[in-house]
Amino acid sequence: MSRRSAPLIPRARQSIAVALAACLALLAAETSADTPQQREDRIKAALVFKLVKFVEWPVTALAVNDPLLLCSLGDSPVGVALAAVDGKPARDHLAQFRRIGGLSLADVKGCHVLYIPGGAREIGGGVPVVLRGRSVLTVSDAPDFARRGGMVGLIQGENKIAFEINLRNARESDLEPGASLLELATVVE
Amino acid sequence: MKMGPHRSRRARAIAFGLASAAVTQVALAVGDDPFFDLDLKEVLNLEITSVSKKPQTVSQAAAAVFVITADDIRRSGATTIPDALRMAPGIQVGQISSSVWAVSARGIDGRFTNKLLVLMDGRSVYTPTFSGVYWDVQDTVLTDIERIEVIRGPGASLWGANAVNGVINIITKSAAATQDGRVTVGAGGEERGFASVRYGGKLGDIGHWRAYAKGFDRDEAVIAANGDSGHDDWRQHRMGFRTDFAPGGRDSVTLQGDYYRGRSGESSTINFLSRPFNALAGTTQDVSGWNLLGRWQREISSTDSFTIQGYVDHTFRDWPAHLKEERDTYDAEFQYRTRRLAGHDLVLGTGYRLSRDRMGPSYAGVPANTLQFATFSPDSASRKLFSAFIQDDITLVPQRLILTVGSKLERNDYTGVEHQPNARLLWTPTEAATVWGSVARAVRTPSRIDDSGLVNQTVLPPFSTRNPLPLPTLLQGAGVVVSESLVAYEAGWKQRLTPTTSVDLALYRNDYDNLRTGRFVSPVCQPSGLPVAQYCFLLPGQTQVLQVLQAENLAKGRSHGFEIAADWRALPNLKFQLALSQFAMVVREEGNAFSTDREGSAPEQQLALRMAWNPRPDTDIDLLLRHVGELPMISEGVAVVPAYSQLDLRLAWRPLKDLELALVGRNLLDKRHPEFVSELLDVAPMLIERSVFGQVNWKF
Repeated sequence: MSRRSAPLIPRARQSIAVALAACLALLAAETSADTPQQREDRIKAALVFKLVKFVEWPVTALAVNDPLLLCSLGDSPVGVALAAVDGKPARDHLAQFRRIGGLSLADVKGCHVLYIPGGAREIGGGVPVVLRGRSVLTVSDAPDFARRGGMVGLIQGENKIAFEINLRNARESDLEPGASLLELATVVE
Repeated sequence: MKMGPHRSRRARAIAFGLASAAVTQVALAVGDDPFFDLDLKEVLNLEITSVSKKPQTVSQAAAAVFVITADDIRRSGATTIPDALRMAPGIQVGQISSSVWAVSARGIDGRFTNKLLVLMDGRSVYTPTFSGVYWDVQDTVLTDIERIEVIRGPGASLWGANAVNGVINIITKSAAATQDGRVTVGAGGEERGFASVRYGGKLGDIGHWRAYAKGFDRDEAVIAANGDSGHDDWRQHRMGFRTDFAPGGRDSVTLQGDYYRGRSGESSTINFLSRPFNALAGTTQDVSGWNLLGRWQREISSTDSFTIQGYVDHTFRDWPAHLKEERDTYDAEFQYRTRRLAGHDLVLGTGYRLSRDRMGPSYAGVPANTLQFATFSPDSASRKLFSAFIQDDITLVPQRLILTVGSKLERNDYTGVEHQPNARLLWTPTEAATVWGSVARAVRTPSRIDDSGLVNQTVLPPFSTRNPLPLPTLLQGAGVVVSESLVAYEAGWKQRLTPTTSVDLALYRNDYDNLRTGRFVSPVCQPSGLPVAQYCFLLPGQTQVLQVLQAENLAKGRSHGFEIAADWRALPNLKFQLALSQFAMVVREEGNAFSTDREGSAPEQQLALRMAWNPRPDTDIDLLLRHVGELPMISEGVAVVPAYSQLDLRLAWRPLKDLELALVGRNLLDKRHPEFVSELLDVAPMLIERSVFGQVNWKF
């Protein structure tokens, strides 16, 4: 098979898959009753996606035409909700979604944002050192995440989702949260 | 053939999404979620739920909660809020005439049922006239409702008096979530025509707005006795707006208001103290009202926040042969929440409400000597209500065991201070299971009619079966009552059995004390005031006999029952939902008193089975099969309403993304059937008719 014709087939398959996914998603969306739990998960996913707009990555980690990679650990409902960002524009980049199975160096390589579900075993003893200084914005709904080595902790505010930012942890990883983001967050040490 | 890294990632993401959608029920999440299109401030302002005045997911609530979502309402084809409530377990909905419903939770149902609290966006909509709800004026564009939280059991420790048997919390979408235009028009048999339009937009960088207008014209039902038209056709229009601002990340401000005006008919059984004594008259009732509400929420820190809310509500009702009433309510509330103390989630609040009314007789369209069903003395009153509450969620075992204790203290003008405490224990042994139990006290404080009203129930003509005297006899409810109280014991279990099935079981026992009763006291002649026992009716100049039903609190009641709500997503596009309610009640009266809260006013069994199926992505097929058990006795002398089963069906098709055509059939199993009869006997018993209508929804 020649190199030229090869991509055509996957592309066709891919568009069928996308169309199918869209149909199923639509179908599912129509029949789904959005429970408060699901709603909460959707809000969290939207929040993770929206954070991207306010954070500066070093050029070494995110070049001009690079896609912006949002990673999610394991099979959490928030992760599933987040999968829908794949292909959406995120500032000057295109968002991509990736599910990762663990927090090893190989797993997180290339991730710009990493969502870790609150109950994940992997962060039971705090955020793994491997994530430090790697320009990966770590986000989790684990209790006190931003105080335990993480950068952005999702917390429940008055009937809403709010977030905490640990500025020191972010800056240590060469990430610069914008001023307007800090205005909306609770900054913790 | 090897895919590039980019493509394989994408394919994996899709595969992941698909698998998850099929397996985990969080299907909505993989859709093109509109939340992703909001900006950060708006996302931060999205509300999760308001079950207990603070964020809690339903599965975490130590109470019997059922949430009717926007999707449930749309797919039910309901055109009124009471109709939408029929799908909830533990809620009894009976239609009396085209614009009148009896709605209650866990028994004691009636047109004037007084143990259910109903809120719309934080505004209490029960009327202090009789502590009940005028359902005909509780409405909005139904597609703008975000959800209806149906809480069975007392909620008085947070929400205050009258949240005895349940709380219904109607919550509309935020303005940010209604940014498009939407037009709905429809018409059919019983629904002669209805239309609504809603449009939303941005307010600079800090907020959003929406405005709506709607109107409808409903056909009349049928009088059960003779098959004649019930004269109860109903027209209403309303308009309103909502704006939501987020001036800073810590603040969110909501301002909203509504205005409505309507006219509905009724086949009233009117009474006179002279010939013909009783008659059936087609009457026309005029209603109007407006309200304005503001709410400011501030996040002080990650642990502390407060909410300040205030509203003004004006209602007017000109109800022939009943009363003419005008009411202004002013309400202010403050609430503070803190999680500063480790292991405690504390919320406390205080409130003040002033309700001012002007009551009078209404003779619109009826003879000037018509006896009014309700008269008030004084005819104008201002009633104040002060309240304070505190509730603490104490984490006993992190993520596993939470104890909630709290109480509300209220001071009302009728009975003084009322104390309404509760204690709840929530145990989450696994992520998929929740077990809870609670003990709570609630009171139903006297209403205006209990305190300073007379109820002229009926006139018995001279020499009739129930009145052998030569004078007409007026049956009149009178007297002052104290608060009715309830101690409720509840337990529940919520379990996700498989990724596609879940079940929610609630058990309860309610012990009522001081239930309102009536007692026949010795009849007297009027105007002399001499007792009938002294043959006063033989004296000259006597016009009638007054038989007073002395209102007192001489009954105790006990009810128990259970409710099961089960969900089964058989296929990604096929969902079943079951709501089963079982209820039993015994009322014990002292001496010859009889309770006005009849145990037979609610069915012992109720069943609702819903199916939501999408044979194709652009087609909805929805089915609601309901069975409602017999109503043995709604009130003294009111006939039995037999058990009935009904079927509602909705078919919808979306030929274009923004266009939906729907065909709705309601009450399909019968041409007409009885559902409920007003316990005051003020309306002729009616039959509710089958209704089929078409509807077009267009987004722009």
